[in-house]
Amino acid sequence: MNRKVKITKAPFLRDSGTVQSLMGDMLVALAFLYVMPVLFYGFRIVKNLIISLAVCYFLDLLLRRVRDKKYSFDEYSSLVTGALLPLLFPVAIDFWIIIVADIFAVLVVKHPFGGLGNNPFNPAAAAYCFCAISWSEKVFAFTKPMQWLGVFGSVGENVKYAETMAQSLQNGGRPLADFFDILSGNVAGAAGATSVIVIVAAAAYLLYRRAISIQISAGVLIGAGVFALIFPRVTTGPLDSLWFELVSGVLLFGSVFMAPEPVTSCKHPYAKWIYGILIGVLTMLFRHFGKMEIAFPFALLIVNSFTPFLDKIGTGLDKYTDIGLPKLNLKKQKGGKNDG
Amino acid sequence: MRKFASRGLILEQFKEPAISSPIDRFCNVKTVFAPVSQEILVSPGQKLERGELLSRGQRPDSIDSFSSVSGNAVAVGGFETEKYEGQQFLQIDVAEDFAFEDISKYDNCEPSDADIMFAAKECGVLNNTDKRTLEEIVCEYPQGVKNLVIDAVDDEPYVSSKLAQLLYRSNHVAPAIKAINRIFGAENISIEVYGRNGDISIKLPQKIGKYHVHAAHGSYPVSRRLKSDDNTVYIDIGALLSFYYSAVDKRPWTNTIVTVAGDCVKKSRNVEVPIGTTVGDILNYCGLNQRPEMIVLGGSMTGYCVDGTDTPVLRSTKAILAFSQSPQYESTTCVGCGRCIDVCPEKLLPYYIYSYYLDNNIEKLYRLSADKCTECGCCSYICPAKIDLRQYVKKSRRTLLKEMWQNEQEGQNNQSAVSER
Repeated sequence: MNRKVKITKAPFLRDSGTVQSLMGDMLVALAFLYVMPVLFYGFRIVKNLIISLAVCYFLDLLLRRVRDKKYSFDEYSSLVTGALLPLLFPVAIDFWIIIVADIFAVLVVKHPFGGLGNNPFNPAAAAYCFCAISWSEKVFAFTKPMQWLGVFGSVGENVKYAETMAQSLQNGGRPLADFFDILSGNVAGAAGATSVIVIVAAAAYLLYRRAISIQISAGVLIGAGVFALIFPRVTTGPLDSLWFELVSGVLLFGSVFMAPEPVTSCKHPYAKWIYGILIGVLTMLFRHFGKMEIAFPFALLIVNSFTPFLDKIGTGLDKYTDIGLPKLNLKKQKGGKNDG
Repeated sequence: MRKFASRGLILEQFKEPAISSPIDRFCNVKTVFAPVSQEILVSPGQKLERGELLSRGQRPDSIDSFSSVSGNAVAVGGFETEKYEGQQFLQIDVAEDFAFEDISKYDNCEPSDADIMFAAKECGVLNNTDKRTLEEIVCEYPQGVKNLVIDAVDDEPYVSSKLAQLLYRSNHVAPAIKAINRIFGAENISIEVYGRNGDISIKLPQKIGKYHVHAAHGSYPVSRRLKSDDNTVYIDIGALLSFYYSAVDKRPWTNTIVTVAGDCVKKSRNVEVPIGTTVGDILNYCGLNQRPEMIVLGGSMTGYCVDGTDTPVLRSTKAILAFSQSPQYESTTCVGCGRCIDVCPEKLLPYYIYSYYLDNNIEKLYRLSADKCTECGCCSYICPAKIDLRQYVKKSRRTLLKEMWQNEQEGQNNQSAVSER
């Protein structure tokens, strides 16, 4: 509930950032990611986006009205979930799966626990997992890029499907994609999770605006990367394994947009590193021993439940790294002793 | 340069133009309200001299109170401001011929040992760094101390009263330090100032007399590092100069220096006024260009709001800030962004203290050590949801202490019940 408050107690100065600006930054960064799918797959992704935003926003408004007599129109947190979900699914997906995912995210994962600020699990990740388990063939049916799909209705039978990098790694082979293709996103995969350069640019923007923390994102990549170096799935060496494991699936996308979500992630600086590394390692374990080709959202949900416990560990670690207050410099006077 | 793991805030200091002009002196007032304790030694209608003892302080709550002007005592009353609850004030009508003495008579004086001890113990000098009287500090170090640091650190925005005293009374600082070092006998003496003052047009001196001036860099709050211990004593510059002037005069010094700033004030400046002058008089002297909606006494991060311009200024007041509108923000629910935890200089967890306080979970509050809070206000400043975290941490500390006291009482009752059987 938003209400205007007057400041009558110290401190009388406040920082200029607000919760709305935080959500606004996430929306701007997500808007970057909608450019490349339009180039590769046509305007179908725009239709997915509009449906997702509308369903999320109005359902959230309705539920807030049900829970609370006073509500406001400018709360954008559900818009972030709505903009995030179409990027996880393939562009060729039918629109009703996105609607089901939105309804699940807002109605089951967010509001029964208390709404904004109280949900223990990441709504986007949980909705994706629900759809991935219920309609596996549709959610993992990725089309080849550079063929424009029809905007309305199902995609039809003439569309060519392709094997994603995650699928190739699961089958034990080395993905055939070229380095520059991976960078620009010219590979089959989730709508927003394929072009590495755009994700890195969005991450740089969010880090500059302090909307995400470097500790969680770097922790996920370090955890997954070290595991991939030590236990490679491809046969051509650890460096190849490192590169392909990091860019396949939704790992890079999730480490920037899904894991550092403020409500569900750890708050303590040391705990954030442990949280990130745990997600990375668990994702790699799911990829080795699991059946699904996209493993990141499942790992994220499991580690979400550890957030308060990890915060307690982080506070305990503070004792060992306390270097004390910085000492003030007391210079000896030149020329001997003073009077008195 | 902000280091990777540093905490605290980098704030924009609005110290111009107050710091670039010399200290004004203002004593043309009609009434003055002096703070007094329960036992008052003067009666209404009595004629008072400057420096006359009005009441003895009852340790440890209040200090001795002296008359800051010459005039007639009128009546005793109180004020409704929250901070002054329970404190009594004596209204004094100022005599027509009251005026400040010339400040240049204090240049290069060497007070005698007897005067120095009188000034340290009998003149009610208050050390603002740790809110103790100079008498207590002198009694705590009977054998002297190794290091003496003069604290002229002004780390809050808008406030520059300590720095102004260092810059514009600099020819009194060196003899004052020499005098106070006769009590403490320290080997290392230095003066500490704040290094991040923004773009000010006046240069900070490197040396005053033969004492080095050291600039402490770092983020707000710097004052938390200034804790006296066995080897070091921190004396604030206002207390130092009060002590010196009292020793030279052989009478208690009863003026205080405040910074007047804010967007309602025509030109912000530092003013020297008698203790007990009302806020309204000082603001009228400085000139207002519009009616202020919010008046703040103290610093901008740790001060308190006053309503009404009749409130008097005390010895420990640093600044008067007059703002044309009190800031209004939209407050939302806590999003759990964790910025409060990133910024707390004492490494506390305001997010968890806030949520456990709202759930009334006293057990968890025990483990979060809310009593270490120094009330700097960094958590409230940075919160994007504009939640008043500092108040919640204060309230949770009070709840914790009440709970611990109640447990102690129950334990004592049980013990006495057992022993009666």
